[in-house]
Amino acid sequence: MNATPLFVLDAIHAGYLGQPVLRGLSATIGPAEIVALIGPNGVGKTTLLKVLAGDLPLQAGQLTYRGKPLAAWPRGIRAQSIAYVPPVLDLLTAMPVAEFVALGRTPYLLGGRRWQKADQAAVEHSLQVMALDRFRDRNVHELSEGEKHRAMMALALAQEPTVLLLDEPTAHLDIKHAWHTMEWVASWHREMRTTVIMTTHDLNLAATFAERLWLLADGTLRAAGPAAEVLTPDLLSHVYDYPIRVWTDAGATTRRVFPVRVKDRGQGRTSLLV
Amino acid sequence: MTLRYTSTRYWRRLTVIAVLGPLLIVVGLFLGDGWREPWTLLDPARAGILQLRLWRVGLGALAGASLALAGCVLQTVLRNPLAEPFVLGLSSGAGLGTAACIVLGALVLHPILLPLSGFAGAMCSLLVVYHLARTARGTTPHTLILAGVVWGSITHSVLMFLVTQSSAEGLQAILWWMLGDLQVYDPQLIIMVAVMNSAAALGLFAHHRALNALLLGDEGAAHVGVNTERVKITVLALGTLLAAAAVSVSGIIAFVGLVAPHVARAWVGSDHRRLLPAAALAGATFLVWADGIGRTLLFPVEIPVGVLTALVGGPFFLLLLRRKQKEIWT
Repeated sequence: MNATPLFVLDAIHAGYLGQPVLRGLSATIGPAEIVALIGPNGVGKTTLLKVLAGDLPLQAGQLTYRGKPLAAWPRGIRAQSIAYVPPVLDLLTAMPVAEFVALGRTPYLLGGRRWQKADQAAVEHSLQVMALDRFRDRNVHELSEGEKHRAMMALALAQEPTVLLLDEPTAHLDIKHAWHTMEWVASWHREMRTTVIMTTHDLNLAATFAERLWLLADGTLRAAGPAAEVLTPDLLSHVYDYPIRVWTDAGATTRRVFPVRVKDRGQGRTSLLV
Repeated sequence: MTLRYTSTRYWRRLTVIAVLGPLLIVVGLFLGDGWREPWTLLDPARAGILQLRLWRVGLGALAGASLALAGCVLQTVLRNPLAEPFVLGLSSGAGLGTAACIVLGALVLHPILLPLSGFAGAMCSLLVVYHLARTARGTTPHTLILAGVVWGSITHSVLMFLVTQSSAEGLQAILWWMLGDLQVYDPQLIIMVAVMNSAAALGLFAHHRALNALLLGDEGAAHVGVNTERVKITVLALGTLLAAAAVSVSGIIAFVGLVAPHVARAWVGSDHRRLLPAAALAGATFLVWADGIGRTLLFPVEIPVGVLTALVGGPFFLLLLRRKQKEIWT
């Protein structure tokens, strides 16, 4: 945290067709952090992730990565440092898992360099970390949803990134696969000191695995910090515009978030909250 | 360093194709008149016939490989399993360009203008079709094919008009050319096209890693460091050049660019390092044999090669169209 930050976002504006979704967002992301971007639909979580991935140009403001404007990094070099995992697989043709994961080596090979031992080692490591070794010759499209997602993460891992961007990594997964996915991310984070930035709607998952939570609202950061600071009933109820309770265990280490059913709207929401 | 990350099965099959393809092409030399006594072709007294055959088979291999490579990269870049020079109207665009070059008499300047005007016509067609088919979320298979078919018939009509305005003795030749004709009229032109298309094919092959990454979609490719726009434009231009140059020397030949890449994909997988050479070999072999069978089947009547490829390729295309896209490609 106190080391030099990886990303510095300075009053960035970004969005689609001139319509800014993010309006004047400022923040920093340090090395080896897990940051979860939370907030209601349409608030700009994915937009922010796309900005960090370099997919979306800024309309205003400044974004630097390692002290240099992100857009100034050559694409190939950037892809050796920042990997992005989309929420769903988009692969045109059938392909064995090992070949799919090997696409993660593309940024290192575009210059015309031949496939080397290091490339092979990176692919093998990814397959092992994501427990895909026994599927290596299987067609990616034949895998289950959870396995497909692991394959996409393995591809990103093969890029040997410093920063891993995950867009809704657990959106299509059941509890077991979602939490397993996050365990994988966490162990990868521990092992490789990778910075992880993820968007999610699962606040409990974010509370468990993320070191910092960014709560987005109205195109800017409404709150940022550890779960204890961000996941408060008042703040969440206000931002999500729905009554939300927060349960804290005795040691105050774990937080769990519960929406509360609105029985009588006339009563006002605050009365239902802890 | 052995490339352990790919299935060795695919590499073995590529080896088989690399041996079998050229072998079949050589056998294709003996199809046609006198196929029952193949040794007569090697008779020194009939060296002229052998030479004609060699040129014809060479042109077939060149055109087949070019169309297959073009279809292969069109399918990848447009993310559409039905993309193919003929279906997208590129072939008739190239035909129109070529015919305009002949009618306007520009050919007297230099024969290289023939494939180049074909390229201009095909490139225009590609731009028109792509923009007609474009929606907010890219092109869908259906809009692209519809736009291609419609644009293809428009350019075809103009081509027909040009044909009717040409001199009577030229009519037969042009009609044959429109159906696809592998007879060699100008060996020098064939050599020029062969050199040009070999360079274009090498250019495509140099992009094999970027093409593989494009299978992840435009954004996915960008995330692994590919300059997506630049690669797409380069590859589409090279593919269109390949198809247009082939059309300018062999006429409008349908469906080779569709059938060959799909067959190759089924054999060697979708890694373009294997797929491009396999598709080229499959296209070359397919066209040489289609032409050979056209020479043999109703001998002494010759069936135009374009008719035969459409007879084989048409049903194949309908089959692809009927099945869902997912089932074909995954």
